[in-house]
Amino acid sequence: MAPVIQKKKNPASKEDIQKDFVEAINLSFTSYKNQVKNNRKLRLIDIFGAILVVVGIFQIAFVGMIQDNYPFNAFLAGFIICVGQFVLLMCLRLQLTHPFEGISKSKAFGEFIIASLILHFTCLHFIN
Amino acid sequence: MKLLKAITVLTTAIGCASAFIIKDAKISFKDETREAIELGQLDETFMKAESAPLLIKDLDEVVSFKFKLDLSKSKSKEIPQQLSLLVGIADKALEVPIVAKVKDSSKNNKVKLVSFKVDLQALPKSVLHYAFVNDNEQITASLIVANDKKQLARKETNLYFPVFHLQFTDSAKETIVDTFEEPLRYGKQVELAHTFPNPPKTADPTLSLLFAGAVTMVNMFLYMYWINFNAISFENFPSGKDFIPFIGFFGSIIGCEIVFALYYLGTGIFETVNCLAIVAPVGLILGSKFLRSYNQKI
Amino acid sequence: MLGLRYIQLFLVLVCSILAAAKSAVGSRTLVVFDDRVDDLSTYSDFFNLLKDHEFDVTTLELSDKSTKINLFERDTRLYDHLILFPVKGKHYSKQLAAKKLIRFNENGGNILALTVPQVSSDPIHLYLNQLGIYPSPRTQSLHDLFQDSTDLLFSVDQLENENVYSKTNEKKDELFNFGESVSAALLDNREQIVPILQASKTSFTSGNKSREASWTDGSQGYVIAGFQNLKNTRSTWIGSVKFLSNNHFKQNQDLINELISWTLQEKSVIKATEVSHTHSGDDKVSYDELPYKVTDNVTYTIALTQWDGQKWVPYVSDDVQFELRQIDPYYRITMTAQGPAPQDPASELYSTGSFMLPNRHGMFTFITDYKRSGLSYIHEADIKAIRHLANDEYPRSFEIPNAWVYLASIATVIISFIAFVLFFISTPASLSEGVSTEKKTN
Repeated sequence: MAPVIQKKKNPASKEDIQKDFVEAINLSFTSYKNQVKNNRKLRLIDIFGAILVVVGIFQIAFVGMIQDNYPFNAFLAGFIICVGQFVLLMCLRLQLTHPFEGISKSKAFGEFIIASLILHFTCLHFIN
Repeated sequence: MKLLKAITVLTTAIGCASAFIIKDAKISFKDETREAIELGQLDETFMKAESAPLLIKDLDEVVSFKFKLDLSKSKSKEIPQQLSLLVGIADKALEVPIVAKVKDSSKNNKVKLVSFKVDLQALPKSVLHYAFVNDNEQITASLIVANDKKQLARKETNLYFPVFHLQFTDSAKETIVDTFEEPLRYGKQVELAHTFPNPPKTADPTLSLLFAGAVTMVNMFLYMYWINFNAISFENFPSGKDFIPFIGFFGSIIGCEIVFALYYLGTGIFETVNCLAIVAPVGLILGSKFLRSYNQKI
Repeated sequence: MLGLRYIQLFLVLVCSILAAAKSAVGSRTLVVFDDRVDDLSTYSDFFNLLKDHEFDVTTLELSDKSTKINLFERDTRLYDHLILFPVKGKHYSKQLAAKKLIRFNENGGNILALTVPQVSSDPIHLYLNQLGIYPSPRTQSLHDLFQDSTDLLFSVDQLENENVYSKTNEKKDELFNFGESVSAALLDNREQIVPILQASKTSFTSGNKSREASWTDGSQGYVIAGFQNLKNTRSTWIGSVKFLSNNHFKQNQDLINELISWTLQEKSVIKATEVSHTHSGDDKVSYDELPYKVTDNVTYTIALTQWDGQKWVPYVSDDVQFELRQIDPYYRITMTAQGPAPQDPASELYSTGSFMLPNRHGMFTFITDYKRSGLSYIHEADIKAIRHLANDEYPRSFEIPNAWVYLASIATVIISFIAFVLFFISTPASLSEGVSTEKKTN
């Protein structure tokens, strides 16, 4: 008898997972919508981040298309500035939504600017 | 006197020019199933060697060459002083002598039974090598039968002529490992040139321009989306007492970026550091001042 | 009587004009001999020939046991050349030990040694064995039953080295007489050995005992062999002393003359006079002015000169090779002769032409290692560093089309960043304050 029960149970659980999954996605999507709806700064950050991802993908597509990574240092510089800027933006976003204890938002912003400037210098130096 | 001379000349002429008589010459092989080759009587006109070389299938072949040496017509009845078989590459003067084994014939003590054994494995590697490499360079075996002038009758001549050639079959050449290395000799060597790696290929400039344009376009989309999604406004634009620190702060950021760009375009690192030493502190001081007063609005 | 003298003088003059070759290294010659073996007067023609060659000959008779041989005085060589006739006895072995001969040879002294089968000249044999020449032991002498005369004759065809004796057509059927007792030698397989005269195919050595194994057989044996050490000093061994005697002198003169010339360094002596390498181009920038870096174009030249007996003349050949090495050769270029060198017209200039240094940095050797059997060796090596590209010698990113894409993305990111900072400040966080505070408390 046992296998039959299992058989019955299995699709049910699969459906459950699917349901849970869709639910979770919907939930996070709506919560994100709520978060962004009322905060323009987050919108600024998110759009910038998305564009950085697209620029990074473009560069990888270019390397794939010419089948050659020469000059590799230039590619790394171009790609790293996108990734680095994206990471820094996400850190800033994290601190805006959930500020760290003892670090004010303006201080976080200042740190973001200094880190970005260092990143830009590094990448310009590296691309030669 | 003259008559005596004439008679001796005549008798030698009738008899034989060479007083060493080689009879019943025979070449046999280690492999007993292989038929022995009967050469019969040999003299300097013997040219069998030219026509067909003996084919050798294996390196452990031993070729035996036997004959009866009839000394009945020569002056000395002893074994000749020099009785050897030169085996090797004649053109290259690369030959080894093989010493004869001599036995008295049981029937006639003026007839000697002479035999040579050519053991191919015992031949120098160099000889074998040249025989492998070049078909024209066969291993030649030449017979020498010679005596001192004092022990020769008038008109009697020493013998020196090639008897047979040895050649390796193609299958033998494939199976036998040739370990010979040419000895070092001074001389011209093969020319060499360094081969460089291929230069890195660059893509079509128009393609990279296209992509560069695309990247720029994507950034244009950035501003478009910012405006589209209503992310930008100037409600918070600093004014009043915040304005001047803001301008300093923002200007120093732009200043830093310009210094970086100049560095990229070829300014030396020391100059760059000097410029940054001016721009960065100003930016830091004004930036911290501005951000502190602006804290509430972020 | 007077007229005869004049004629003699005239003849001497003619001879000296014809054969007045001089050694490139010096003329002090010591001849060591033993009266018990041979009377030196039977070699007067040979000594006259030496005099014609302007050698300053000292003879030393060794049958007297008190005679001392000094080849050195306080480490200075007293003679440039040593000619050794066969000498008997133990006294001789002490005076001219093989060690002394080697030292003499290593210090630049040339040696012409003669052996005969009858006399065992141990030191000479030991010395020759060190070189890789193994003359037949005492009592074993060379025979060739196919020759008509009792004297052993050798033809020009048996001569092996063009640098010692060049066979021209007119000398084609010349025969050299070596007398009755000749020793033959086996030679080692060494590059420095210069085989000169090969024994005939039908020859063999044999001793007194009838069935003794022979030392050499056929073309294995040599009757004249030379050796040139890495310092370019030469030794020659001749397997017969009668070869030099007055009886056969006329017949052998050509070969004797050439042997003396070669051994005592009157001919086949070459040297490098000028070695240089520069950047390619008309202004010939040297390494000192501008060190080489990878993939630079470089030209290497060397000037070679040859002693013709009187003076130095250009040495012309088509097989002079240059090598660029870093452990293994990266380049081996056969150089082309360019005619007499501009700085030194007595030497021939060779050039590699322009070649590109490999794309590998490190210590490289610019080397000409010209070694040919019978000629003086030339080994000119110069070690130079080839540097890699400095950081500002690579192409800039904007020169490479591929990098334009990456450059564009960096530029746009930076510009967008500045715009972002501006907008971030100027944009108020929330549309409505209430939501914003609620978020903050979250």
